Amino acid sequence: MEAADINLIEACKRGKPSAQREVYTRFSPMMFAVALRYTNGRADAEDILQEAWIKVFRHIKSFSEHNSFEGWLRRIVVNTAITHYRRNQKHAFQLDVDEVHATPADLEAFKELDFTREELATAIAQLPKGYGMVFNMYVIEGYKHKEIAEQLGIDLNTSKSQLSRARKYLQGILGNMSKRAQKA
Amino acid sequence: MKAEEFDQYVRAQFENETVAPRAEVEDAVFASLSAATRKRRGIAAAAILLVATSATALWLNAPAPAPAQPDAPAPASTEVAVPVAVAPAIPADQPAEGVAPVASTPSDEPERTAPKSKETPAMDEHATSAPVIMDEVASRGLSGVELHATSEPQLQQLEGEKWVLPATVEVKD
Repeated sequence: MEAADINLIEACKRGKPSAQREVYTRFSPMMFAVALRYTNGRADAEDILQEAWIKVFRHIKSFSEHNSFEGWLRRIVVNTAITHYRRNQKHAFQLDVDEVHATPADLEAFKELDFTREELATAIAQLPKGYGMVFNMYVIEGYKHKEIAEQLGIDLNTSKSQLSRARKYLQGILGNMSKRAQKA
Repeated sequence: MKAEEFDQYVRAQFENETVAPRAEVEDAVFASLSAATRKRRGIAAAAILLVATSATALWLNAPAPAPAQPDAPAPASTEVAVPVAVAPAIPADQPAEGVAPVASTPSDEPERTAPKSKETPAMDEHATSAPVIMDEVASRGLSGVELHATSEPQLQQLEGEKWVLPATVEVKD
């Protein structure tokens, strides 16, 4: 971490408003992108972002400069998104998993992946919520299965099986998207 | 394609992804922060006020300081009291109506002089000032009231903390 960043964080720890504004301006776009992946729309993502920033400034004194500040922020957003999700849909997680039986396609079918970020984001957003959570946490944020299981309150093997199903499900969505693109 | 390759591909696509939120979110975040700060300061101020009030109350309700030394001047409050109770608003030359003659036996006479106390100089002041006030009552000439003012208080201190009440005992056949 650069000295300027450390000074900025120290100023935030002292509660300096201009430093807080600067940190917000620099990191909000990254945090909002994370929040969007865990929600159905911008309104929910904005709620998560707001809640996450309040947590950040309230607990910034506990942040150690030896760690990655961006990583710390991302974790706060993900945790806030999980809390938000649990609060709003207490039992939906299990229902999501139970509703999905089919795995439309296989990863082996893809020789080359040529999708834009927007296409991938659209495909991930179509995953059942429980699958999407596990997929985002494991693949994009780099969580381990043990952490995912603890965070989501599920079994370790459930996390593993959901990730596997999520991959296949996503593959199916991407396959359909690519077929439609070829026809067009 | 293997699962790890797929994961890497997806992760790479989302690396450094940014989406700008609406400006209203920033306002909401900092409004919430200042509200929380105000609330915290308010609670802190209330706590300080509470502590200060409690400390003042404790200080005010604390027991009185140790009695003054014997040679110290008596407090000004010792000059109040007894005269109000003793001086009636009755002309000096008229007997008070409804005042029955009181038996003049010393044992029946209520004694109004305060007992002598060695710990409170104020009580000593009362005890010494009482005969003077009784003289004033006598000068007004209340008929039917026979004063039994003694220069000495009834309770007498012997040695130490021991107090005695002098009494005459009559033994009848």
